[in-house]
Amino acid sequence: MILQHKTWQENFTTYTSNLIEADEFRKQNWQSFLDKGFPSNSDEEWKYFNFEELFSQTINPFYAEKQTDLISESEKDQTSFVLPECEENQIILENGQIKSQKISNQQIIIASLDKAFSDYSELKIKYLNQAAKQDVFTLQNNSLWQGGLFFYMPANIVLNEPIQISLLSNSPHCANYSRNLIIIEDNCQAEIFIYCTGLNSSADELYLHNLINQIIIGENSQVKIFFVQNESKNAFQIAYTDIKLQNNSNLDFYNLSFGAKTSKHLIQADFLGKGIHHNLKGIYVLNNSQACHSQVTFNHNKPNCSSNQLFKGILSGNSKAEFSGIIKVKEGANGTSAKQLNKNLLLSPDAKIDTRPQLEIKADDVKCSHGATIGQLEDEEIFYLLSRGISKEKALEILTFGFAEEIIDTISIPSLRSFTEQLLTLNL
Amino acid sequence: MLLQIKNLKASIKNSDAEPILKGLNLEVNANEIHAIMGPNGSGKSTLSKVIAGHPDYEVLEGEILFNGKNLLDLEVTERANAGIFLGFQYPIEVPGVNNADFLRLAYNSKQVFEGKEELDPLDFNELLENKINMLNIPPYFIERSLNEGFSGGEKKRNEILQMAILEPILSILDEIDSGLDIDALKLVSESINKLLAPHKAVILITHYQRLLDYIKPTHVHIIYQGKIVKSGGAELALELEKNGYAGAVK
Repeated sequence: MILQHKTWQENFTTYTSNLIEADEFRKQNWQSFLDKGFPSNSDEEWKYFNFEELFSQTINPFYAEKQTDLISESEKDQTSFVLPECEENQIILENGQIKSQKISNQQIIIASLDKAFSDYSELKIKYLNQAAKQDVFTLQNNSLWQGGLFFYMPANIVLNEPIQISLLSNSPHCANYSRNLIIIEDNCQAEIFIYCTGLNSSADELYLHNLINQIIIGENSQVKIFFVQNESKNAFQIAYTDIKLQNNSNLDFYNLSFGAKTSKHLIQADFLGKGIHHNLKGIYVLNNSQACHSQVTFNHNKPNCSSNQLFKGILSGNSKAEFSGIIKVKEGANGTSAKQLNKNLLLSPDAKIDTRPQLEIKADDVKCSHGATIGQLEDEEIFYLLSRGISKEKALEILTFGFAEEIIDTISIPSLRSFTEQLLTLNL
Repeated sequence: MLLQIKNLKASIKNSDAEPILKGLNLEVNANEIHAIMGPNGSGKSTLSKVIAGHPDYEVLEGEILFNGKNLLDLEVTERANAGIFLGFQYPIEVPGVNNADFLRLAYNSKQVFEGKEELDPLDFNELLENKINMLNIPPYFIERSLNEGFSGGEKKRNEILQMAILEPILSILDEIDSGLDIDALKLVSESINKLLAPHKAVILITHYQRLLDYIKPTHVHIIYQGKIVKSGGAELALELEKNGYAGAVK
């Protein structure tokens, strides 16, 4: 990334002049971004991030539609990957902008987010600045996002088919910005598969995908979200997911990472009501020199909520992973039950994991646990399989699979389960 | 001769401790059942692991011939595919690996090794069903993850199921009777008896005569301090039961 602020400023003015809502919010955030500059490894959140690698790349923060090296229509993968279960319910975004949409339930509103904000100013007031994090990439997204997705599910809808949201990147040597606002009102049931990938999956394009998801789950709603990161192997992804949970809602969030050269996903969940249950399951499968940073903040603000985090990592080559998770149980959040576990399988002596599960408890009568494990495949397990005539290569593969299966097995969409297994095999 | 062990000396790899096996000799022919008995620490389990090729052990001297071939030249996988089966004293739990899938994989590995066609899941399930019916194994066994959450008895029965699927020529069953109650012991023994065949042999490693009430050995050996110190027929086990090892090895 080139740090030439002066040219950036000029670019910013030209760039934003064409955008809907080129307003104060963008300008303020842009200014804060310039003032703040990029963080460094002394910043707790970025302690393990390889900035050198990011800065050594030429990535223009201003993605422009009229670039010559963009993938043309004919070169694009003819069929963007869609789960068979999602044939009738799919939204495709390219560089953060809606390209196509299909939804069987007509009560659900799908629109571009900038349009939704300009049409309904109360939406904008309520949600635009609500993603509270103010780090440099968030500021960048705040000032430069285009299009975006507004997904609104009114109350009392039970969906029997999952919805796929594809976030495709087509911005060679540029950053592109995704901003998704997903609101699910009360008493709903839904499964959403969010799929991030490079538009031309055969080419390992270099780009930066800067992504913000704001997800609001209403009272008594039961939601499953499957976030699959399968970006190009030379790409960077910096993602921030902000989740707000209301009374008695139930969210299963799967964070499945396979792609990108370096990816970072900060997931923050605020428990804003009573009786909420939130399961967060993560897998990262890395090889070569991939890096993946998973950061989780759970704010247990209200009593009698439960959460369960399980992150499993499989690392080979000289890949690196970070898991930093913090559970904050606020004063008065009595009866909280929160678990956090990070397990890692290092398949190579050169792979590296930094894991930091943390608890911060200010309430009484809480049940919390956290832990981390780092290990290799057990020699006894390998010997057991070999002694049954199974080849060493196959034995290692099925044991590694077995390690991930604890999470993959619970994916409720059958074709997504096998797709995840495929991605796992490809990345071993 | 099926198995011939000559002057076998073996120790734990990278260890300065004295060898565990100190010049062991054993000969096993087809259609024989050998019981190997001996006090704790005498080298029984080590012997079984060395034959199977466990990487923790190092052979210092001697040889093991299987069907006339030098077994020590073969990798663990190759020994298994050549027809050697080790029933584990403590079968390993492998979460996330479905038992039926595992059995099919093991079966097909052997098919490939023998230049035969692999069975597809449908055909294999038929074969599997026949085997579990024969062994009176309940169907939930094969639906679960390999040994995960199995009781001691279930794990041992699952070992026998693997033996039934792989049809090894030489089965070495390491304390297959440990951790079994009377009913389970009877079940497991009956299953083993069903799998006997004239071209096959079994080595039973055990502490107790009880197992040999159900599976009649043709030979009984006493192993002591890394060597076989006494061999005989089924009556030797009865004698042991009466007089203990102290009486037998003096």
